Amino acid sequence: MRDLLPGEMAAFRRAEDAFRAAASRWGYREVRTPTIERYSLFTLAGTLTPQMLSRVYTFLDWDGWSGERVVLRPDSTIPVVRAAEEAGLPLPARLCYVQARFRYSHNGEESELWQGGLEYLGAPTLLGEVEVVAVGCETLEALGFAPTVRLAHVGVARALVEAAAAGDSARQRELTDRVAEEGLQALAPELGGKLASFTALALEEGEGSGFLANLASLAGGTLPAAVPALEELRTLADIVAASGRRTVIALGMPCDFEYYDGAVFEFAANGAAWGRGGRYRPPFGRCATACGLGIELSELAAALAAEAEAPPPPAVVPESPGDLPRALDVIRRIHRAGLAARLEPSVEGQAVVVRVAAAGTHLLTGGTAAPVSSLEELISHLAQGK
Amino acid sequence: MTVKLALPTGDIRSAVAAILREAGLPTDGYDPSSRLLRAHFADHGLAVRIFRERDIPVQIALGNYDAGICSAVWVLEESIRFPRQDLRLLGALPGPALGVWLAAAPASGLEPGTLPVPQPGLRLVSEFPNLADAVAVRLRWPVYRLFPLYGSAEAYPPEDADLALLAAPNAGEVERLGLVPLAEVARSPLVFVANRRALAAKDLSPLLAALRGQLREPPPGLVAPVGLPLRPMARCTRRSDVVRLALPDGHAQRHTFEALLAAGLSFDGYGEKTFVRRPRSDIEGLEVKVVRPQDMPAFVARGAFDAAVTGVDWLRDHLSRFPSSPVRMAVDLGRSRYKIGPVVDQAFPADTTADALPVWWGLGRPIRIASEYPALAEDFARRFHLPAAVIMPINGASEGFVPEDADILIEGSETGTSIRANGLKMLDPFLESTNCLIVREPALTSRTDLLDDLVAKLRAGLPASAGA
Repeated sequence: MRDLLPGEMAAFRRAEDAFRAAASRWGYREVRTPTIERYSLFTLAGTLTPQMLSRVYTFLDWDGWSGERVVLRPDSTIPVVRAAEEAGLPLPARLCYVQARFRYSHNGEESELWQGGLEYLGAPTLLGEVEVVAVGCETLEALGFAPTVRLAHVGVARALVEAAAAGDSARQRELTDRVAEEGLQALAPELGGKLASFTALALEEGEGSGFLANLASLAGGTLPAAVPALEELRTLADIVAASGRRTVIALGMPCDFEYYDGAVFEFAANGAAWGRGGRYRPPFGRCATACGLGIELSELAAALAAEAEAPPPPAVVPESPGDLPRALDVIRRIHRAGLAARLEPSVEGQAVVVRVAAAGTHLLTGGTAAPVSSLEELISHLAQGK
Repeated sequence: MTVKLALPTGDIRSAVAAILREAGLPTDGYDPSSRLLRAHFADHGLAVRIFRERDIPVQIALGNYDAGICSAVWVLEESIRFPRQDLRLLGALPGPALGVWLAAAPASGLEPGTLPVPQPGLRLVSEFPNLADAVAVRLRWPVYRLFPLYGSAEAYPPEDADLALLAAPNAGEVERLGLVPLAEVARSPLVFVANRRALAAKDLSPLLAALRGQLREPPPGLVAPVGLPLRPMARCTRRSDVVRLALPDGHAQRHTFEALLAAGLSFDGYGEKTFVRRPRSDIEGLEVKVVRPQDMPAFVARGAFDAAVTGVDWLRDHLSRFPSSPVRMAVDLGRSRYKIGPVVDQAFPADTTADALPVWWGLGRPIRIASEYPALAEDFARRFHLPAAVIMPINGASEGFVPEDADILIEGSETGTSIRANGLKMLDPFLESTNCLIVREPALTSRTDLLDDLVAKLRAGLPASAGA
């Protein structure tokens, strides 16, 4: 549990605004889903892994005698898909949200994390990925980051899992869960022989078409099921790179491929990942395919809050209680001009002060007091200082 | 420094006593017939407290006790839901071992070693809800329903649940209970368990040394039966053209039998002391099942049963927790009468709740309230504005909690004998509980005539002292 104090809250709003603005520019409309959802929504096959489900906050609601439990929303994608389905929103639908997700943490991470998310329901292949990646990049660029787009494809992981446990569906399921948590590295001990060279290269990170061509070449003889995924990834990587953004092929990164269904991506900058997303198969409803992302606003806010805080707004100080109505009028006029000002009882410790008295109004800056001939002049002064 | 040791009450006392004797530890008063709940053995530096088994891991995790002995399943039930709690399993001990079995009714068509094809809405009952949850999640049952129970899980499939997760020594015993043992998901020998912080900071070495020679490798945790062949499962839906009546097992059975007798009702297989899970009724359209009275209000609310004989205490606890529940009392049967109220230590400086409030408010720390009725305890704390009350749901052996592990016990007592014998006293009771017939409103059965007739007969048989 963590409080967001003013500096962090201001940073949070900055990150949130950047995300909303980017999503809005691409035509996404904002939705909000309930904090409390039915548990059964998340036990639908292929929505959350057992590891994830073991971390949800679940409890009995007031009507819990029915046997239905509720959860604090552990994920926003499924509720947004549900909401779109229940409302019968026309497809394709571009939806975005800013909301918290709640997961119990075994290792001291925050249990309440805020995300800015997109769900492009019915997103066409390739165009959907390109658009969603662009929104993620624009968000981070607006905040001063130069993101690297790390790309992978669940088709590669799926082909490797099938190869590692051919014909053993229980074992495949177990490996699927491990890849979701640990990435492709979890499969390395299972894959030797002919697949060893492909796996070793897949666990490396590379850039651009050449790297993917090498992987496709190795897969051609030993893991043909991975080739279409690698081809799709190459096209996507080329397009993203052509837009001037750096891409890295990172097939080893963890991805839940019961959930995702195609290309997956992560936005990295300054040594951290700030968001991830990908192509997925909604678990129910009319929409057969979708593409989405989640930007970690809580983590972004924590990083941005380290930057210098804005100085406090000018203080308006009435010389006596009788000057208070006049001081309030001055503040009202300053606010109407779109500037900030606050009421203070004393000039002590204030950087910029507007002292209001019956004898006249003075502007105090840097230890000097200058009389103000008109409010327009004062507002002009403050606007320059802004 | 005294080491605080938690030991189980119930059927496994003799097995645990044998372990203690073998270890050279005192067992005075810890025989199967003893009602002793605590003992101090200064020579051994031991303070022993007797709990219901399922409370032992909780008390040790809380740090109220340094170590304890109980069946592994209760440790697993705690640790699978709360993996970061301060419990350390030190090893298995000799004695009877149970298995935890996933089971279904023969009518399901499932055979041992198979599992149902995952399908939406599978209903699972268990007195190990955390384990049951983990099994359902790992088997990826979509939209499954989990019904936690106080006990008698074997009674529910196939009518009221598709599957049960229950403890039994072996597959044969599951079959003897009338179910098909699909898979064993955990082994549950007796285990020695300790608090992590106590192990890190307190000298428990005499106790560890005494038990060391009997310690074996701890059992593996949950073994989710993934990979078993999947088979289609026949599921039972409730008939609406019958009335389904639940009768209690345990302490409430004698009083229920008397009430039925007075109403001119008798069921083949439900006597004063003996019962079968499905007693036969001569009344056409009336189906009878015997389950725990604590579980009845929830199952009546869900419409699994149309009527049930339970206690006013369990009904009130249920309604306190779920005010919108459609269960109501149809007949107060007026038997099994006892009072429920706050119980405190004899030395507590007040004899009424009103006089006690300033004492509790002045403690300057959260007040610990233990109860088998957690929702009634919550109500009590709210009503009297008890600051930062910590409600501790418990499962029996309750008189031992006060004063060491709880400040207040919300408890029922018929004569007060047991309370006095344990050095406790009840302040003013807030509920007089009797046995009662509860029904669902609106009823889900189409045979409301039969339900009305049942209510009328039970009313006619009320003792003179009871109000209808």
